[in-house]
Amino acid sequence: MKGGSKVVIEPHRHAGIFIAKGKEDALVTRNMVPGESVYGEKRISVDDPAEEGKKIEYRVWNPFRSKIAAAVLGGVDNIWVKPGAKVLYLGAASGTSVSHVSDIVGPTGVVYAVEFSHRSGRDLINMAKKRTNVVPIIEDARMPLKYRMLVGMVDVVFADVAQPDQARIVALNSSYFLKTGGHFIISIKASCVDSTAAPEAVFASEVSKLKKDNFKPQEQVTLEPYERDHAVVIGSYRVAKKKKE
Amino acid sequence: MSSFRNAVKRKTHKERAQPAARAKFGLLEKHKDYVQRARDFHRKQGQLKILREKAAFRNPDEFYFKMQSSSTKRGVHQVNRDNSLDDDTIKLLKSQDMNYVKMKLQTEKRKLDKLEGDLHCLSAMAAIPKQNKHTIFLDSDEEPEDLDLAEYFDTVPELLDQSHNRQRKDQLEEYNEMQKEKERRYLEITEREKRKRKLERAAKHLETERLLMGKGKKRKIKVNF
Repeated sequence: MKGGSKVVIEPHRHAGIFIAKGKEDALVTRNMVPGESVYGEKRISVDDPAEEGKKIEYRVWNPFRSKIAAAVLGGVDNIWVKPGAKVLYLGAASGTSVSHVSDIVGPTGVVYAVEFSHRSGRDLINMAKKRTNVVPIIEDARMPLKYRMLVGMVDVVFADVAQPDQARIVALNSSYFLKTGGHFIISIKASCVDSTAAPEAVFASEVSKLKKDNFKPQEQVTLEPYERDHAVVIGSYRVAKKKKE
Repeated sequence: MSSFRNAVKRKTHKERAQPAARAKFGLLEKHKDYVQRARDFHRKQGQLKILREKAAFRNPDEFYFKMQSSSTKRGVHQVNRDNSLDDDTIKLLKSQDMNYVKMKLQTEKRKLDKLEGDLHCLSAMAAIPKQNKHTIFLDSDEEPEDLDLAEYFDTVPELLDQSHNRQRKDQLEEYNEMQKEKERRYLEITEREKRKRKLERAAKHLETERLLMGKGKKRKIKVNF
């Protein structure tokens, strides 16, 4: 790619994520499969500082298309998805965000991507063909028993299912696959849960639902200016109560 | 006499509101309102006068070619339409225009998407007021007042506003260490240059000594040291 030498790659707060500065001004992840774009996104290659003559390729991560990217730019404290992590991704759609999550976790991590729709599942499978750390699962996330043989214990559950009973779906999956002390990331679309209530009220009610299911929310970020009336809630699962000294 | 009249204080007449008994006649007009109404009236009268004059001084032989393709209908000027194209053709042309506009719109959207894809205005975002809301959930025994945000995010207070990338303290330290390492290496260059110059001089000296010890007649050319 021409003009690559003018780009400066800056590490981001979260491991595995970078910021490209130069002609672009973008959030990027290191491409696990150099030379391949997943959904026509831009790739940036720079010289490898460690090895002479080698190149490292990064892929631009569009926050307008990915809730996690929007949350990262919104300034969350910790996304828990890091190199080597095992992630259960509910609502994978065509796998555009999944591909970036797979970039972040790298070859030592695994992403179990669950999607119900066959149409977008096809794209997901095509993406997973080239990425060895993605396990595509075309099943209903409401029935985790159907894919229990494929999924091991995971460190992080990410959910972007946009269903009214999202909290229940996440709780059900977490009870099967999320390790004690693991973490969850949930993207809430206010209009999908309750289109009549105020977004803030919807977020609060979802958070209280999660609290009942052994989840301990740590932070919540709304996704303006990238999405309207969306919030991402991050927290931990089955944490031990703090001991009184 | 008039000066006397001026000296005596006269009764001041204030403008009043419409008395309750006459409320059925509507609002009572004040002088201020009258002036406005009168000015408007006179302006309109003036315009009418100008038009009447123009009509009186009209040239009956006045002609423009446009008059051939236009007429008046009950005194209202009307331009005759060009009827060479029938309605269906016009409809077709208009739909084609619409298709063209839609196509242009599509390309414009595509280009905008592409640009937005790799320009996320990251540096500009830090400058404008934040649009999103970040909630941190605390345990019931923790007080929000006690929360030190810089400590919570494990960063320096200057980076708190830069929400798109609040680098952790150890990342910043690593960066500082890299800076220090670079400075140290620059210093090493100057030191090594100095040492190189000294060694070169010594080598030259030894070379001269060696030549002096060789065969042939010796004579002093120049005192160097």
